[in-house]
Amino acid sequence: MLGKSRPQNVNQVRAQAYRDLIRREAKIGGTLFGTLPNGHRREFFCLDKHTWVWHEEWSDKSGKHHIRNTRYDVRPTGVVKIQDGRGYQALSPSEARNLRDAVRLYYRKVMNDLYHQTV
Amino acid sequence: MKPLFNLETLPAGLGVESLRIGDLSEAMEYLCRVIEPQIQDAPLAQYPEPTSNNTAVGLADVISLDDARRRVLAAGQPAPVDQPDTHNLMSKNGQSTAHQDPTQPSTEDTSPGATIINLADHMQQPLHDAAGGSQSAQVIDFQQHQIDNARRLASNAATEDMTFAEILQKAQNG
Repeated sequence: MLGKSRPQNVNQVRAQAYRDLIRREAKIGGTLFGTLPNGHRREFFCLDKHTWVWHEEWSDKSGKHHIRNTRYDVRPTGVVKIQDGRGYQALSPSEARNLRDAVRLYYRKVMNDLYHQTV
Repeated sequence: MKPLFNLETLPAGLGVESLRIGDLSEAMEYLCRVIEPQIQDAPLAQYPEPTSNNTAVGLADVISLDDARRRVLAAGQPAPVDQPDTHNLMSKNGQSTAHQDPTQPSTEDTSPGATIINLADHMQQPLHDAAGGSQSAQVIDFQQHQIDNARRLASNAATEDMTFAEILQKAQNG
């Protein structure tokens, strides 16, 4: 029984460690776009080869909590945007350029700050 | 920032960090390759590519339209016509710059700190709309003191030789 549970535990540890790395990257990614207003929480990260995620949370003046998830799907034919799981939107050329630049900055900063590798 | 876990305490041989680095590298390269045709659709693509030394903090791939204008004018080519869909036409205080004379020197700050704001302008837009702000795609939701702070830091960076990380840290700390 112990022999069976051990590999599962190793896999669980690996999966948890991988998710934790993404969480740390997300915090670094959230710092790339300037100062956040008070009460805002922002994360930007690479989920996998085909998915980049922008997550933002904030409360408005009435105290109502808002969450906005923006997912960028990378497809062979181009990148599309899905906000809060509703529909697909094409990227304007300027947004495409900004996303590319943000991804490059994210890669450099994550590699340098988290993985201590110079790129 | 409190670490979510300690890399040093991971069991040896898991290779999670290497796995993630490989996945991230692949994802970054894939996106850059796929998205390039979408970027090339932009009229800005006609401008000269930025040189590798146009900033001190590694933002050489980022270039503003005003910077591009200056390069074109310096090269003696005709100034470009504004394209409404390819550039943020509103300044940070909500004033339109769509009819700005491209032959006049721009007052917009294209220093590294300002470049960070330019990135945020577009990314921030959905948030503003969701918060009940204007539905206009051109309204920017930045507070003036944040912009001023970022510009001041960027200006100082040139003389203090600050790193990108330091600029970000200072901007966040206000």
